[in-house]
Amino acid sequence: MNSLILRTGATFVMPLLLVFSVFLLIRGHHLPGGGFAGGLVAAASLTLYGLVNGMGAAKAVLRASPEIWIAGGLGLAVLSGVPGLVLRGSFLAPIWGTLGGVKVGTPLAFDLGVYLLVIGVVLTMVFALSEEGQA
Amino acid sequence: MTVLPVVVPLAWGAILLALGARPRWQRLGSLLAHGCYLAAAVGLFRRVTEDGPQASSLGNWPPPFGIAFCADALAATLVLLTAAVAAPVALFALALADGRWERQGYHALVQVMLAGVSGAFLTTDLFNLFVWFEVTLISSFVLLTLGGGKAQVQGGFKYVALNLLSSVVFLSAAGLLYGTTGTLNLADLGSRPIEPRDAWLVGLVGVLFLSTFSIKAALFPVFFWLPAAYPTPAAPVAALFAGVLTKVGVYAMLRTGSVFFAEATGVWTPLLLALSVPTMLVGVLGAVVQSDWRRILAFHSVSQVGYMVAAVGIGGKAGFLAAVLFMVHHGLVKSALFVAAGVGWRLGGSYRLGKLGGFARSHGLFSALFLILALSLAGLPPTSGFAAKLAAVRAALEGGHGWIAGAMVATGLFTLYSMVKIWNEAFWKPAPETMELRRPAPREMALLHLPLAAFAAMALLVGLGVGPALPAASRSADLDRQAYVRAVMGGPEP
Repeated sequence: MNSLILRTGATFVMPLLLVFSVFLLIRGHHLPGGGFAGGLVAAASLTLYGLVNGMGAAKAVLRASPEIWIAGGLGLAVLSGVPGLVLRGSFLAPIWGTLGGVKVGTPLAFDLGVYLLVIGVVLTMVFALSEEGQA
Repeated sequence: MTVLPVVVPLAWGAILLALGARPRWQRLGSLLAHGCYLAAAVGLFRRVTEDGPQASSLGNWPPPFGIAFCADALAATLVLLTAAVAAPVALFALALADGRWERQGYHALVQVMLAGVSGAFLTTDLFNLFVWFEVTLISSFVLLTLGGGKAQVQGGFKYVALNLLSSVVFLSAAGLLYGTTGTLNLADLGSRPIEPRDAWLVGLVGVLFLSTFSIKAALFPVFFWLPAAYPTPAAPVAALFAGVLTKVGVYAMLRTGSVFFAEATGVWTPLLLALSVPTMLVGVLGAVVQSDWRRILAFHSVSQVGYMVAAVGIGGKAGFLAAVLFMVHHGLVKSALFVAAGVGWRLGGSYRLGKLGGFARSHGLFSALFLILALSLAGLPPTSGFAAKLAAVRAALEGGHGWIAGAMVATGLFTLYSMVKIWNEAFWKPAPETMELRRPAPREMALLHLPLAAFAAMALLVGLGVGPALPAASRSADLDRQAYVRAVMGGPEP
């Protein structure tokens, strides 16, 4: 993509999208949003970055391959259920605590797992499709 | 306890995915993962046989609002069966693995599929059943097409197209049922009366559910994805699918039928009985004309589903016992026969019976193990097949369905014919001159034979253990609907 407007626009839009995705992730506990929607927005932001700077650059931003993101997200989501199983006898039972005056708990970890997983899944697809286009 | 057979494979799926393209670690992880799954399944089974049905709901949200899992004797048996099939198949996969599937995520996908199958067996909620069906479908679709040959993609496409249709019908039916009754929790559905003005709608929904489960179970006339998909994938994938996938559909019929649909809709049972006979006959006749080892086995899977569905339709204690026994028998033996086909392919280089021969002389142990398993599928004593078929025919006769019993016996004869055909072609006749017998290293030979030996031992154990005890077992076995409803609705475990 060699459009000046897109390149300039993406520079401003991408960080905004990333911040917005985190906002969606945190908002999702009580209101519409959550890990899935947040993950989609974050993945869209990274895809935009890849369209402007090349998918190789987007892969470099991710640092690990998207499969690792999927594995990490799935692992975190599963792990977030374990404290409930141990402490309350029920898998995924929420355990809450406060960290520096902010209420945090296992549901947030679960949502974060979904967030990472969705980023990984969408980018796996985007990278695979972009490679197909070049071949 | 109840969630462990779902959570453990999911966690291992994440770990194996993170291990990436490291074949050694992948294989080690896969063995550990199957060990953990087997331990979780055995633990659950023992708990259920000792203390009765176990229920738990995720996050302690009480049913019918929360997502509940319940393991009764039926669900625990099927989870144990899945583990007992998956573990030997994992050994078999190690014998054939060449690093190619590992890079494409074979081991991680198997774990995700096991999580999906266990979830389908353990959930008490129809919408969650849909979700677990999807988990199973997506992971199995990728497994089917690993390696990506043309035939594989064709078979996989038929599989996924028909199963997506089934998903659409399932989702619509679940929506209608929720709109009518206000709940999708099976135990909740089973414990409340249906208003007379809703009866016709519930009947319609029942038929919709039956058609989606029929596609999953490969029932006549929607079975054709199975013979298209099973003969194409990598050998261990076919073996795992043959043991596990259709059982999920039959289980769904058995579970939802016994708790809710059979009573709530008048047409459920007659439809099952009417469809079971053509399923048996079309499957077995389709197998007779095939000359490819795995195609014969795939068509037989269809005909064997006919037996299970007939037993589900017959119902009562005898029918229930026959259905469970048949699912266990078929899961073990059909997986084993697909493993045997894979061993034949590894040694002789083909699945086409015309290109194989002479195994009886060159590979005595392999031949003996195949013979035990083939005779078990045909239903000869003292194997599991004999016990299962005896239970099925007895249930049909006791229920007054003489024509179904007749179809079962006829199907058994044709099954024997097909097994003798494989034996004659691949084992008995002299090896054709074009066949180059491959000689794998001793370690690989051991890994090829070990799963077959394990399966043959389990088939004999089921046959010897259950066969003589059948009359007594048929009196005591029952699908205790009340206990199931109590276990789920009585709230989470204290």
